[in-house]
Amino acid sequence: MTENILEVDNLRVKIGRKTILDDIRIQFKKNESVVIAGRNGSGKSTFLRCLANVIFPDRGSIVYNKGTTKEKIGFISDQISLFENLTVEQGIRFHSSVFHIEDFDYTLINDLKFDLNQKIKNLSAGEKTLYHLSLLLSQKPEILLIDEIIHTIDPYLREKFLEAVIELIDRYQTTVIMINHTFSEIEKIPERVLVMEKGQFILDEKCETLGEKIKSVVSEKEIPEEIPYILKRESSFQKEYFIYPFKEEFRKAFPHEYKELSLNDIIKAFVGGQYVKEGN
Amino acid sequence: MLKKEISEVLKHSIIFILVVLLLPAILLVTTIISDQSYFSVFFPVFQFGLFFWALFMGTSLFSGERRQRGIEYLLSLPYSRLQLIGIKTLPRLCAVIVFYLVFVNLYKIGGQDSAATTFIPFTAIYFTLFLLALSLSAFSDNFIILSVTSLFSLFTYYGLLYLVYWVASKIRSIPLGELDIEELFLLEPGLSLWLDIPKFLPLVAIALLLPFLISFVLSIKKFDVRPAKVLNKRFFKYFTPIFVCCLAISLLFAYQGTKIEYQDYYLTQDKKLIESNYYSKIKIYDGDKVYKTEKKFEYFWPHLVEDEYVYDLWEEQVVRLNTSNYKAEILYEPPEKRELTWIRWKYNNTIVFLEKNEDLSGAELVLFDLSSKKTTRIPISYNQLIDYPLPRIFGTEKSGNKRFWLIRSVHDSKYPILRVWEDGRTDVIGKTQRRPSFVNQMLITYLDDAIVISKDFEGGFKTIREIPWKLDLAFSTGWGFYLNNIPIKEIYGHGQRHKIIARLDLETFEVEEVGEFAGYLRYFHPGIYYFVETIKPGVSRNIYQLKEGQMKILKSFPDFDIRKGHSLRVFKAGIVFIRGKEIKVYAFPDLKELKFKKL
Amino acid sequence: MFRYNINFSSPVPIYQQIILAIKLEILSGRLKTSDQLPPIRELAKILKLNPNTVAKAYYNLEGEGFIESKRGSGNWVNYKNIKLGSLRKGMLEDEFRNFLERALSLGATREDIKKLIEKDLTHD
Repeated sequence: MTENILEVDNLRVKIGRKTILDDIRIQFKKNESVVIAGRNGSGKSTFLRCLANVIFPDRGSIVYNKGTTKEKIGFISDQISLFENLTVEQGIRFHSSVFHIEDFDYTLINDLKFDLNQKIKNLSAGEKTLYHLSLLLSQKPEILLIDEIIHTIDPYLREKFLEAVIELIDRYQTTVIMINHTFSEIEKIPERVLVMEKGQFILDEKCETLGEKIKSVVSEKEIPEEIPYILKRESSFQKEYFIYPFKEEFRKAFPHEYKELSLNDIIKAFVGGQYVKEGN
Repeated sequence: MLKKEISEVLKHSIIFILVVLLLPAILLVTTIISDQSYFSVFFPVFQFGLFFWALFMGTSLFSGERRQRGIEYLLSLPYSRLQLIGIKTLPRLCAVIVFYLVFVNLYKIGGQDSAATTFIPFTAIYFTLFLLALSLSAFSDNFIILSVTSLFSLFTYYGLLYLVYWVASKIRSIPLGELDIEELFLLEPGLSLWLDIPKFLPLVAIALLLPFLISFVLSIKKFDVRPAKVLNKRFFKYFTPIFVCCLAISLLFAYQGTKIEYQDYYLTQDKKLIESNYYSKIKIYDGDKVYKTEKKFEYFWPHLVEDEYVYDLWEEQVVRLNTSNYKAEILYEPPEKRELTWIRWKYNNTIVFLEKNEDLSGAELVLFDLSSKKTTRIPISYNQLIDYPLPRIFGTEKSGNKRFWLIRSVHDSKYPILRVWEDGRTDVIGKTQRRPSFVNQMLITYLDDAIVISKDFEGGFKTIREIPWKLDLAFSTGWGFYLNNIPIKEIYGHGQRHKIIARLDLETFEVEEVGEFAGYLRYFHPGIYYFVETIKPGVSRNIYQLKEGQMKILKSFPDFDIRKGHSLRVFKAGIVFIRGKEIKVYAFPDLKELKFKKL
Repeated sequence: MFRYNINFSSPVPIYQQIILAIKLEILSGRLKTSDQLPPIRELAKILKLNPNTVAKAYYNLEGEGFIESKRGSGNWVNYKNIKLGSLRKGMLEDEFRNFLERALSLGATREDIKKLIEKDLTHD
């Protein structure tokens, strides 16, 4: 189960003079669940689109596992892209014929009580997303790529969405790569966190071990230089430092209480840290 | 996926059909042109609509998805980019072709003017518009921008096509009109379908279209959701070098295509070989050397040789080449609104030819004096010649103090003869069954069953002999360019149908058959006859000399083959054998091969 | 049926929280031997977790001897009573250590703590 299903090498995407993705090198394993977080405009969506073959990189390569054809990749864009003039049923038939799906699974469609003769453009945003997901589910995809759409769905549909994804992970060992800002919405489905900034990954850790690697410390004094931090929050009476990567010897060098952070806070620190860096 | 595209195209087709059917009716009703029939309005509407159809089909490749915001979904489907555009292009191309065929056939059935010829410019524009619009379809989301760009490209494309043709003509110094392409560009009707279009033009048309199509295919391979300018940059990156290459290739095609292959050779009495070509300098090969005239000539068809002078018999100028100093000069050019009929004749120091008004309102016999360079003109009422097309002067003589010329023509399978005096009088001599000749001051004409020899007396031609003769052939002295009237002893004739060579003795007036041979006679003044025998049609020739009823074989050319572009020319001085690209010259009397080093 | 209070903000790994929760269920008697545990997918869906996380928890529990996974039929509680005893003991020790640490950070001495425990226990 440790084989790579996706290998990205030297990936570069430019639009005009602006470099969106800058020499990215990363691997993804089978059945891995990953979340990609980062600031707006950091390149996350572009990266996902590259993986989905919707954008062609200017340089570099994306190598899929042998046997992972385009039919086995499912992609939901943050722009909700479907052929909206078709009805629900027509869309299902179209998708089935193109992806060679023999027996389309209507469970989710029926669960949500979609009207098969309703035109897709008349569905709400959340419904469109769930509809698209149900199309992808029937592909039994090996890789599922989901752009930032969780926040557009109401809590009820969100729950259905997550349950469907969990089903995929368990049943088909799907590799799921999601883009999301916060963890509260996607709960604890991802096992690996990536933070992207300016077309580069500045954080790539397993969720489990993240707690040990990032800690925060509060002090009135300045932190010694050798201790690396990603964010410093200053107020009139104290300074808070978010330290990464944390090493045990820091406890001696700067003896204070080191607090462990939740994943949400970690993401916030990383993203916030970049904003601060920009300001400097 | 293909089904979806087909249904989309069908939907568009139905709308198009409805518009094309209804619009003429609406036009008729609103503009109250009630005297025009529905069909006479329908066809122009259809034709105009087709341009719009071609444009729409070309640009609409991605418009459906764009409108439905489904581009990302489209690109995430398991098709390669090339497969996608293939699936999208196929139904549209079929629709374009189908509607074109429908239009063409309706037009024919509808009984409009036999307009297959006017379709050439229309067809070219229609299909190139589609292909250009197709190759630009990923440029932009906006239909108006796409259409404007496509139309602009169309004009540029046709401009370039014309430019290539213009450049090629300029390089070769050929006037544009000569290639008859201008008519194509002016959308003039009446072009015969395939004959008038030079072969290089379709090749150039395709070559100039290739940069668009190839750049499109290459750049579409990386089509994605990034802004269009990324794709456009890539398109131009491919387009520029391919376009430059294709332009160069087009110029090459055009240059090659405007090459006028035909070359004419003439062997002079002093064994110089003259080579002439369209719009080029005349070359003279003399032993080891080759000389070129200074000027270029439209065409030089040397067929009149006297001493060092060679005169041409073709086209719009009278040109004379001096083979000793290699200078060519234009002796005469007709004034405006007049044209020369081809073929000139020379006697003594005068060249005579017929000149007519371009509007056929009149004609003149022009006498050009070579020493004084002066022209004398004798008007002929062309009406007389209207009954007499293809006039040919075949004899001249002085009767009393006045000179006359004999002109023959063809009419109703008979040959009418006209006599024109130098004071402008004309006599109608009569009609003869076969081609007449004038030798030894005698006019030879034919009745159904006899040869009639007549002579000119005051008051007209009178028969002096009638020889019974049934064969369908006439005795001739070839083209008869020389009218110098040196008496000859015998005259020969050869029949196409019966393939008999016959001889008429001009002293005894005896007629005999020499033999049965396939081929043709060649005559050189005065009285030298050769016969070129065709052993097998198109292949293999023998050359004989005819003298006093005897045929003596001079040379055999067993490897002669017309299909390989061979040609045999027999001249007074020798034989020129054009063997494809090789020229072999054999000089009389021993037919030794003459070598021209520079040939 | 199960009340798992998974604290997502806690630094404690989720799978460990699940393990702990199941152990509590067993200790409290709400889960007995031969009871079936919810299938991995179901639990994952309910808790909105990655199935691998649930699988990891079950796997560890099996390793520790509290459950048994039968191919094709799922996961079943199956423990030996000795195990239960040692489990209880272990958890008690953990709890006590936590209490001790917190008490000491308040500034209490070991003597204060000892007195508190004795007071509480003798009152019973």
